[in-house]
Amino acid sequence: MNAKNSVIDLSLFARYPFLSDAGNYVSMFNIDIDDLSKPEHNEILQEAIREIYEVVNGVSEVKHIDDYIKLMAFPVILALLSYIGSKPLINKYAIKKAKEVEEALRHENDDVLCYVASNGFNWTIKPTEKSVFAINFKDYLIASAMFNDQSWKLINQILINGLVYLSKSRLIRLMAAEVQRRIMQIELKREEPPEGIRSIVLKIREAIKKTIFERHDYLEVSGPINTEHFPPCILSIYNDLISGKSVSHIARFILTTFLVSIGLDVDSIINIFQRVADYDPDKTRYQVEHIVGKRGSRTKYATPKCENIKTMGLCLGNCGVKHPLNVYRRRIREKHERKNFFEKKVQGVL
Amino acid sequence: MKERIFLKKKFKEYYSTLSIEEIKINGLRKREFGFVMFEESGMIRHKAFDSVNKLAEFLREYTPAHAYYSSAYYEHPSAENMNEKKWTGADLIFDVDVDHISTSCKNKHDKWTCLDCNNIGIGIEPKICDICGSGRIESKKWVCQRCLEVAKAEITKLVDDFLLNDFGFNLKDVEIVFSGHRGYHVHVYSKDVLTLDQNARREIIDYVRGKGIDVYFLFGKHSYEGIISYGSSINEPGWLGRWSRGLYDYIVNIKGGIKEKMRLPEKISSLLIKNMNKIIEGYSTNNKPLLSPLALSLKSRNLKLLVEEIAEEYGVKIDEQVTLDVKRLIRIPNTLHGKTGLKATTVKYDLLDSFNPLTDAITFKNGKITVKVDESPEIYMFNKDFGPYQNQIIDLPVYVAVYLIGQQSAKLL
Repeated sequence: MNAKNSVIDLSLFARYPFLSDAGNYVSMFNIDIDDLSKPEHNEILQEAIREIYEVVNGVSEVKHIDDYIKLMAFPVILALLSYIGSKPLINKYAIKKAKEVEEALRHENDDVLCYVASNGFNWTIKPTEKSVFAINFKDYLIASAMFNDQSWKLINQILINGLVYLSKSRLIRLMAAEVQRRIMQIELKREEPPEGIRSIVLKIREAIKKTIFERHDYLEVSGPINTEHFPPCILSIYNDLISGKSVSHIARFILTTFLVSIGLDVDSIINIFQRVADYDPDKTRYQVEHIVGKRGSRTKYATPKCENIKTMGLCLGNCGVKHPLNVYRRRIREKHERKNFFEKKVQGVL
Repeated sequence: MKERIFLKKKFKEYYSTLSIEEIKINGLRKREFGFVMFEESGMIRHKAFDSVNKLAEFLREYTPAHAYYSSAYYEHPSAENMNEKKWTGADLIFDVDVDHISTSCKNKHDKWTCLDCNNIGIGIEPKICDICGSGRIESKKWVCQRCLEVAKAEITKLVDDFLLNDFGFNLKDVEIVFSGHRGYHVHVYSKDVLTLDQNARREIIDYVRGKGIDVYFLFGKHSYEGIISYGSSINEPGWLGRWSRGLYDYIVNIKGGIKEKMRLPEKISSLLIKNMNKIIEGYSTNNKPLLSPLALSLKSRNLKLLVEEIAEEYGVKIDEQVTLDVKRLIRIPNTLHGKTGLKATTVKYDLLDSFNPLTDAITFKNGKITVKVDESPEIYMFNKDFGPYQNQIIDLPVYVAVYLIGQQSAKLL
């Protein structure tokens, strides 16, 4: 959209604050994070806080916000999120923002769509005929990684000479996914928040604790492992192993990384391998310690993703997740929530 | 031992005359190098060179049996810890290896032995021994002209149909290399692929292999309700046209009595045979298959199977792991392969058609030498047949001797 290069359209910037033109506009005001506590910027800070609480509380209110305030609040929200340091909160905000952008994009014409894609994401994009767009396959691959659905696989696209052809509605979904992906990538700040926003950050951290966001702490096992939460691929390897069947090197690798991730220590894992026919204590210890990252390159190996397990021919079912640990997490969480529910009920009776 | 010394001496001759131009490497200073030496097993890794001259010097002085570089670029390629190397990107690599493709000639030249019960067989080795059930199977594989032709056909399909047409890569960014043994590598140096992660590379692999194709994509939303009338035209771009051409070939092959190697359930293939005239009729009038009578009798699950099987058959049989791995070590173009003495030859795209590795990749063209061959099938090199041999002392051209010694099938006297 050529006119947009010279004309500042505040309403457009407020709708798509991730545009680099919008970023340039915001930086003209040169507001430092410590300036936010000053009265003249109070409205911006308050808007940022309000949007974050909407995410924390899972509510959403229809409210008219001035374009300037809305635009200026966006970088403040990102800064607050990175200091608050909760990945789940960032992910939830990313989803919310993506939905908002998707809704807004539906009302735009083809020119604006192309402008947002190229100025916002640096995509190579060109309209071909009415409401059909061609984008570079690299940009497509990166953004479409957010989707699990088969219809988004590259093989199910029209790909000609490096360009993927998309209908308007699919382009809009892809752009929303890209917004989500980019926000999810913001890095957590390790250092203490600056004075100007410290009390706010601490307050939001407290508020999150009361919600169900931070539920990782009960994921790790203590005591005997409970195989009923294992996904089918891992369970099958585990069962083969303890029944003394021959298990390939790669399958042992997958199982080990999985067991490490759910919190088993080296000795407990070696214990499991003891039941194997060709058990060799030194070799096993070496290999397990290698995977844990205590030896060799000191890399801690992660459990392969579902698609890689599929490639290896070890996937046994459609669990509807991208990573075997997700099945485990989900089942543990469900159990945890059920337990809480019953405990509450019991308390209620008493 | 003396065989290794002999090979090393021959390799040294090659490297001492190798022109620097032949080992020009994109981004040489950012790559990790790895070598397998004649003297020891295992790989020397984490080497880095700051110029092509230093690399050439190394090859001349130490003369490795195998020389590799990383497809990846690093800030610190010589760091020993992979995290400290700081990955900045990687080329896109494809590997077509006849190991992964079943060719009928394998029954002629490949053999396997069960290490537990000494059972032996020919062709591709089974996962477990059919007599004792052991998984300890040792195989002896050879490649022949035919195997390499099959690999070349796959590479041609990969480069022409996929890399140049669909992905639109520039020919100057695509390098085709004979691997020096059983197949070909293709290196893509485009900036569009440099920083792609494994997820994105997985999508490229699936695209090229023909995996994960969707019935909806080919036939539209109503396909599962069985109201498909036509498939896509053979002239359509990308997989739409490719799939349609695939189905056509498949049906014509059945009609012509050519046994198909696709593993379709009996029910589907008999339906296809029953309807083949109608389907072909669609092709001859519209360039599209008329599928409705067939589709009406296929359950959605069977239709999905048919669609997927044809797509996989018409994809390229690449080794997925090589393309997926963004930190892979890959043989350096124009270095020698320690198991064959053949040169991992860069092949110009225009010359691919006429390239014959068992002639054009031969390095040691001069001289003869006497060796004792334990066992070898008939091999064809430099337009001549040699063997088969069994426990024979024989005078052979140096390139054949090097090849058989590299394969550990011959010894010096």
